[in-house]
Amino acid sequence: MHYAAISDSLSRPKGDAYAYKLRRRTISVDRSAPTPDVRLAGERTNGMSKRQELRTPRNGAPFSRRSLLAGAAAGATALSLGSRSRRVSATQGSNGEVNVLYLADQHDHFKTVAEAFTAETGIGVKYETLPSDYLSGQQLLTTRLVAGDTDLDVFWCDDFQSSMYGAAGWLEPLDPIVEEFGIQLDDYVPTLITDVSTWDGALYRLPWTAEPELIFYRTDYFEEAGVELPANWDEFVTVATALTNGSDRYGIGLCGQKAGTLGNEIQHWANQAGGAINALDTEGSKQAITFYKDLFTTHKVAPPSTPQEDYNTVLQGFLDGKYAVWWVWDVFFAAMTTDETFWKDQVSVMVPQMAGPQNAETSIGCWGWAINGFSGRKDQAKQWVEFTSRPEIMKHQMLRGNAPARTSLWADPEYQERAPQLSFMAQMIEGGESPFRARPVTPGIQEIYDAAEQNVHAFLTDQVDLDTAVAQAMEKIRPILERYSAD
Amino acid sequence: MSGSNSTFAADQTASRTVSRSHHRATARRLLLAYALVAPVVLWRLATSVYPFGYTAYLSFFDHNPMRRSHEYIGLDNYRTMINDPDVRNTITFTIFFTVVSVTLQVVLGLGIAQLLNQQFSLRGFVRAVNLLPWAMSAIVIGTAANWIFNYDYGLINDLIWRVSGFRPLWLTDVTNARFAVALTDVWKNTPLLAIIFLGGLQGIPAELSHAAKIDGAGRFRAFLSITIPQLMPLIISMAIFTAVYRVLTFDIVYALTAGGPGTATSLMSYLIYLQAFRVLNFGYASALAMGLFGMVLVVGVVGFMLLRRSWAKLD
Amino acid sequence: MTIPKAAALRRVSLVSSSVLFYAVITLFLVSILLPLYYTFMAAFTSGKQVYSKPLDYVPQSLGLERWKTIFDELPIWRYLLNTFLISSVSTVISLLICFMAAYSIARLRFPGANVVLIGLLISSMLPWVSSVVPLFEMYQDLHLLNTFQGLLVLYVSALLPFTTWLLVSFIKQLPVEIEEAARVDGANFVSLLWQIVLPMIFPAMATLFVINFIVNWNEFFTPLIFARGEGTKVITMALFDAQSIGGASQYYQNWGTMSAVAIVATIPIFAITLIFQRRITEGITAGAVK
Repeated sequence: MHYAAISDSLSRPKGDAYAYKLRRRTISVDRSAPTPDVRLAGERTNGMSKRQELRTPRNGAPFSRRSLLAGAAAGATALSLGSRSRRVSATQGSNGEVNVLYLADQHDHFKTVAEAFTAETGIGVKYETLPSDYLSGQQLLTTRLVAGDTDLDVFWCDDFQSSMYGAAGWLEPLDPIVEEFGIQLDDYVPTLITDVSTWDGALYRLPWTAEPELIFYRTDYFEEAGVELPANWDEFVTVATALTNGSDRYGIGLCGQKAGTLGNEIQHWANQAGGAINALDTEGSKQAITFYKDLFTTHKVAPPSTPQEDYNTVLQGFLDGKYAVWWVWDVFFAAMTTDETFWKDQVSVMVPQMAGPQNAETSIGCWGWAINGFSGRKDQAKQWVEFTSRPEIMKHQMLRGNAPARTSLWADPEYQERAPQLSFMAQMIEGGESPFRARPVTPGIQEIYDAAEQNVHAFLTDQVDLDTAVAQAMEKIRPILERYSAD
Repeated sequence: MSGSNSTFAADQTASRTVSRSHHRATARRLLLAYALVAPVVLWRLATSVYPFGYTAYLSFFDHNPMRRSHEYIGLDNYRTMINDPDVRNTITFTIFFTVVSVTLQVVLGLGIAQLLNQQFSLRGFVRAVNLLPWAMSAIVIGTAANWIFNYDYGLINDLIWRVSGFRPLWLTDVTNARFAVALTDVWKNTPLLAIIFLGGLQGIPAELSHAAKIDGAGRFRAFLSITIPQLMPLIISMAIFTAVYRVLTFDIVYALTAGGPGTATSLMSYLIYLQAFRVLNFGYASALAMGLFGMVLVVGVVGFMLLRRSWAKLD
Repeated sequence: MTIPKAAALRRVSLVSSSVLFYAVITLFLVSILLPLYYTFMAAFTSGKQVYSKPLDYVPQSLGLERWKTIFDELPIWRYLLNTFLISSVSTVISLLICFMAAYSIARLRFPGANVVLIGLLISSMLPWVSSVVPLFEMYQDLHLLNTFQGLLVLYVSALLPFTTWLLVSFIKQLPVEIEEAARVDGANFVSLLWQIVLPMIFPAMATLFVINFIVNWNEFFTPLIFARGEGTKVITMALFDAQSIGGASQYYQNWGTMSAVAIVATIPIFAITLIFQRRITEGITAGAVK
């Protein structure tokens, strides 16, 4: 019953139990229990699938105590490597262990968090680094999850993965933790909770960062060209043309390469025109895609190599002074303005953002913590999730240059120095109107992205015309949307 | 055969005695032979039987954890595969890429091996340098290649620009992208073939290589008619393995173009990765893997037959 | 004539002194070294900007902070040691068992020899992505995850088909007469293999040693999935970790740092190749046929 209350506050009109209707089978998920048991009808146990039933210990069960020997072994390992490396590989505690899969540590911020966690709970942190290459990370996670690896406890999870793995039933629902520890979900950016961390009414991931795409620009270039910030797309073309100077300086950097970057670009442009990446055949989407192509073919305010530029190469270009404007994830802004070799005073963020035909929104995404449903250390994992959700702990994100997921932290001037984008983000949500819109994530989002990118890219490189590209893309996308639409 | 009949019986007894010990020797030889191959065979079986069985089995199912499905659908996956436009898009390029890359690698590899077989100072150094492209990790080369073909900051465009003032677009044009991908692949992998062929050149018997030491135009013909047939088993073996590897991997190509522009450089092996790890469609991914397996099996069997013929020619 | 002199005569060719020859060698060296220089150049720039337009071929600084960072942040020596250990052990095992099997297939003509060869080839025809999950589950059951032995099994296994096939071809190239002569002289089987065949095939073995070692050294996905524990960290993992040193995120890589680690990873390989390449041409020649 209390679950219905939580689901109401998340504004999802769901009941206590619902059935998915799949092509040929029906399974039912009873979510009225605080710790749902998910059983697949007719699940095979022929040794092919190592799936265990999702089971969680009752609340209040004592932590399993590890022997001192295991703790000492972990400590010894840490010491032998610690003598050569500053990176934290483990903190040892006497209350058990938790395996955390996270990015490589920046500026020791993770080390601080892990040590504080162990100091408070006595649970040791075994830290494994996630490969920064998305494909490899994906392969690693999928393999371990599909095989029901009990050794993986908490991992760093993005928008796409939370719905994908959540729908597969491999993630532990986090609603009980929210409820038990009274985590204030309304402090988080709402769309990050409801749209990209939740699937079918269950919260699978607690965001730790809030990463909007911001339009940042070179203030010195704008001054030099004597132009003001554009208010809409038409003004933008004029401004960008004024800023463009042959092939040494372009008005805007566009990341048109496939493998994720083009998809993000399509989404944020199409969204401003009332479309979306999974609705490419709408007028808004088509208008946006045409506009995008025009930027580098007709107006020439972006380089002709746009279809092969990704975040790395455009970053390089921006550092080289090649671009006046870049509409990209906030973390790039932080990387530029907090590093001494970059410029603090020459780069700024457009607030308010320029508007498309329909709105002035921009995309927001996040990464956060998800718990492996097969983990053998769920209690410790839950403690970790709760611990990291605290505002004072979340602040450590700023050491990394990321904005924290809690909006109440954005206005803190002390931390705006570490993550300069915060001041702009705080401005953007002033007055309650948030320009942040999450990407339309469903479990099939990867397939949708691939289909969209493939075809739009073919259009951008003059291989097909727009209507063919859109038609081919939607042919693949429509069945996926049907398959994963919420009942 | 002796012509005398009187010794026939004696011959019979003698031959029976000979054949009994011959049998024992043969049995021992066979036992030895099997014992020698056993480690390799068992080791390999241990790590490939289960994956093969698993994949083949799963290819007949619709197994997708995201959709919570796991049911037997017979040949449906295979039917989908044949009608899948993505498969059709990639199959041409996969074949084209394999044929072009393998041919270039074999030809260049032979040339380089011959070059490195000559006597000259710094030969050791050049041989070690030769192996470097192949000896570097694929992720490094993939990222490096991405930069090398970059429009503004790439090595290739910089050199071309210094000479002609022009910067071509490498990865946004279909033909250029395919060329870039093939070039990178050949650059990275030819050293392996070169060093194998070099090893093979060492094994050519003296009297045959003396014959190759002819002046003038005869040398090239000698190379073709003497050296090549000697190396043929190696050439065929390497061609087979190189072709199989081309069909089954996508990392370098993907790092360079992500399969673009559009789908111009998309490989079938990437589809398997996509279906398995990004879409969790394990049943279909397994069917794709089996399909790919069928393709390379043909290559392997044909190659093997050619190999046996080349062995026969050696003897 | 003594054997070394015959060998020398065998290899001297008029073309080796011509200008054309050296031009070709130079072109060859440039085509390899220039892209590599460009790749490694990134390790020596300072800050995040690794390239300029037009390209600056001479690095402005040595980028020493970057080197200090990677050696500080990552246990590089441990990685190198682990990698060296596992590569050498796998290579030795692989060469040993493949040599035995290859000799058997090439010379002992037993029924099923062809089956073994084709079988080995077929076993390598399943794409890696399809084998990962079943192997991972297998390793889970056998408790081989994150162990040295587990990694060793996979490392050796990966190269068995290739090595065996090549050794079969190399052995077939050897003239049978020498072995037959040795047999007539009364050599038993072990000494036949060890003292007669192995020395003759030494160039091939040296070549395959280098190849196996390098492949094992660069193994990347296998340790990523099967052994990321502390005791089995290999140098390719450092490449990953290096990508994210120094203020990168999921969205972009620090190419400068990655390039620096790549240099560290390549130097041992280059050294090994240099040492072994001489072995490739040494070895008792077939001119010893009586």
